[in-house]
Amino acid sequence: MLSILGIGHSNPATVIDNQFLEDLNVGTNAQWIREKIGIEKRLSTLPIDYIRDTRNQDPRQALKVALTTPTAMGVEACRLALKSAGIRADQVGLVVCNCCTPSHSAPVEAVRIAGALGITANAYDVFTACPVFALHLDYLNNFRAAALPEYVLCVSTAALTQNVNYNDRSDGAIWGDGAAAWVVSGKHPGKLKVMETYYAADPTRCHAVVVDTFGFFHQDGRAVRDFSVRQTVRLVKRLEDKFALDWSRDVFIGHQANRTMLEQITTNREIPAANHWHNVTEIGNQAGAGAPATLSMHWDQIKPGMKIAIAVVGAGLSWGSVLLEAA
Amino acid sequence: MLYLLGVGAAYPPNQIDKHFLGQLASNAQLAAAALESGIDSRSTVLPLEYVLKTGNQDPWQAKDSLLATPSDLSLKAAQQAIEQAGLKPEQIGLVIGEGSTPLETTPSEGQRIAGRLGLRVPAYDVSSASGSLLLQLNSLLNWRPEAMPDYVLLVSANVPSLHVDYRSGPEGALFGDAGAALVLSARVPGRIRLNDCSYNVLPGKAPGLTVDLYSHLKLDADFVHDFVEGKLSEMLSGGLRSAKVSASQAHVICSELNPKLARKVAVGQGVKDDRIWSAAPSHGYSIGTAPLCCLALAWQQLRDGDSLVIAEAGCGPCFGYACLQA
Repeated sequence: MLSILGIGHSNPATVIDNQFLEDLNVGTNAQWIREKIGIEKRLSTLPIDYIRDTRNQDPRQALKVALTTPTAMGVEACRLALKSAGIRADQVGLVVCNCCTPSHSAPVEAVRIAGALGITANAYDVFTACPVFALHLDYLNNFRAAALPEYVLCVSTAALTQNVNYNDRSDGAIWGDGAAAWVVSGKHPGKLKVMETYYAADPTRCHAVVVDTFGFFHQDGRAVRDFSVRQTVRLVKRLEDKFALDWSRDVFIGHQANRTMLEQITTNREIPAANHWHNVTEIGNQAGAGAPATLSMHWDQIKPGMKIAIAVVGAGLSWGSVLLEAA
Repeated sequence: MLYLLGVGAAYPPNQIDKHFLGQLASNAQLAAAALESGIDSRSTVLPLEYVLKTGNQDPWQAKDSLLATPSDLSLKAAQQAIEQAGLKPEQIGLVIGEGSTPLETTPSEGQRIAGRLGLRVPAYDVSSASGSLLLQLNSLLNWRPEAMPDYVLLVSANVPSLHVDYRSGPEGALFGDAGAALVLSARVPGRIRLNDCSYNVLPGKAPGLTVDLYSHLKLDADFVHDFVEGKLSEMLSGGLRSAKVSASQAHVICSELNPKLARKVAVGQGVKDDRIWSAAPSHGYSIGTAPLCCLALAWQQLRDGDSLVIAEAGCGPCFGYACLQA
C-alpha cells in the first residue's frame, strides 16, 4: 500500500484581487466574481504592472517578465515536501511531474526539477493537467511493489496566469499560479495511507479545456462547470458508499477551480464547512497543484483515523479520486 | 512480458531535401550537418515557401499555416497500428501519449488522440522527449498485468521542424516530423514480444537538446560525440547481452539523432548492415517518435525467432535499451 510521507506547496507573490480585475474595465466587477466564482485573490508569477499595462496580450512577453517560473515553484514545493517527509533529495528514487505551462518540452519538467534538486534518479513527466493528484497516485499504484523505488517525489506546477488574456473578463478571474509536491512510498509508512486511487477520462470532450502553446487558455465554461460539479458529486458519493465516510470527522478536498462550484458539491453531499478544506478563494485555480496544496496547507490539522476524500476533475476531460486515511 | 500487436508511422508530405537545403544558402552549416549525420531528406509540416521566405525566424508565425498538426500525424499512425493489430478502436482501454512539440500544452497528446478515436478511456502522457518509448515500455513492463486493460495504445507525435531556426545552425539538416503509434497487450499474444527494457535519465547533466516552446530548439554541438556515441555503444552491447543474441544475428534500431554514427556503432559491434533499421535518413530525426518509426520499417521484415534490440542514447540526457523477439 502506498503512503504519503510529506507534502509541500509554493506560490508566487503577486496578488491579483477582485478590485484589480474590476479596475481593468473588461466588463466584470468584484461583486460578480465573488458571487459567481467565489474567488477573492489569485497569486501570480507576473508583475502586477505588466498585467495592468499590457493585459498579457503576448504571452511570450509574460515569460520574459515573470518574477518566477513553474520550475522554481516546483523545486521549492519539492524541498518543502522532502523536509516534511524527513528525507534527503538523494534518497528519492523517482520524480514524476505534471506541468501544463512548460517553457521547454525537452528536457521535460521533471528532469529540470530533479536536476535543480540534485536528484540523480529517473525523472519523467506524467501529465493530465488538473486531476494529476489522482493520476500520479493511480499510476504509481499500477506498478508491482518491488518495481517502485523507496521514495517517489510527485510534483505539479503551473503558471497559468502567463497564458491568460486579461481582456477576457472570466479567464482572468479564475487562474492563479502555484506548485505542490508530495513524497510517496510503498515501502515506508507515512502520515497518510493511500486506501484507494481512481482515474478515468472522456477524451471525446478534451477540447473543452485548452492551453494553446502559442497563445491563451480557453474553455467552454458552462460545459466544464456542469461536468465538474456532476462528476465530483459522483466521485464523492462513490467514496462515501465504499468507505462509510463520516462528514462529522472526515474531510473533503475538491479540485480548486472555484469556490461556488465547491459549495454546490458540499451542499449536495451535506459536508459541513469545517470538514471542507479549500484554498481557491485566496490563491485562485492552480490547476493540478490546487488539491495537493490544500492538503499541504492543512497538513498539521490531520488527525489520526481521519479519512480525507480527494476528488479532482479537469482537462482531458479527466477525473479521479484518492481516499487517504491518517495513521 | 508484453506483446506488441501493431505499429504505425505517418509523415507529412513536404520534404526538405538536399536541393532545398542548398537554397538556404545563407546557412552554411546545413550541408555539413547533412553529410555528417547521414540524413538526406526531412519530412516537414511547414510550407516550403514559408521556410524559404522566413527561415522560420518566429515559430509563432508558422502555427496557422501548418500542413498537418502533430495530432493529425499520430492519429493516422494510431489507425494503422490498430488495424495492423486486427482491432477496432473501441477495444483500446488506455492511451498513453507523448510529444515535444505540441500545439496545445493541454490537453495531453494521449487525450487528443483518444478523443479523435472516439474513446472514453483513461488517457494521459508519459514523456521524456527522446527516451519516451523506452520509458513507456519500461513502465508498462513493471505494471501488474491486472492493472492493464487488454489493449494499450501508445501514441507519439513530434513536429520539430516547427521549432527549427533555418537561418542558422545545423538543426535544419537534422530534424524531421512524424507521428507513430504502437498497440500493446500484457495478455493477448502478438507478433512481437518485449522481454526486457531499461530506461535511465541523468538530471543535472547537460541535456543535449532543448526545445523552447516559445522559440527554437537547440542541439548542443558536442552532444553527439561527447555522449551519444559512447552511451549508444554501451546500450547496444547491453541490449544484445540481455537478449542473448549475437550481434551478427540481431536486428537493431539505434538512436536516430545521427544515423550515420549509429550505423558505425552498430556495424562496429558486428551487426549486419541490412539489419539496421533507420527512418531518419529519409525523414529526419523526430525526437521521441523516431524509434517507433524505425519499428514500423522493421515490422514486416522480422521473421519468427528474430531478435530486435532498440538502443537509445538521446537528449535528457537519457539512455536505455529494449529487447524484442518476433
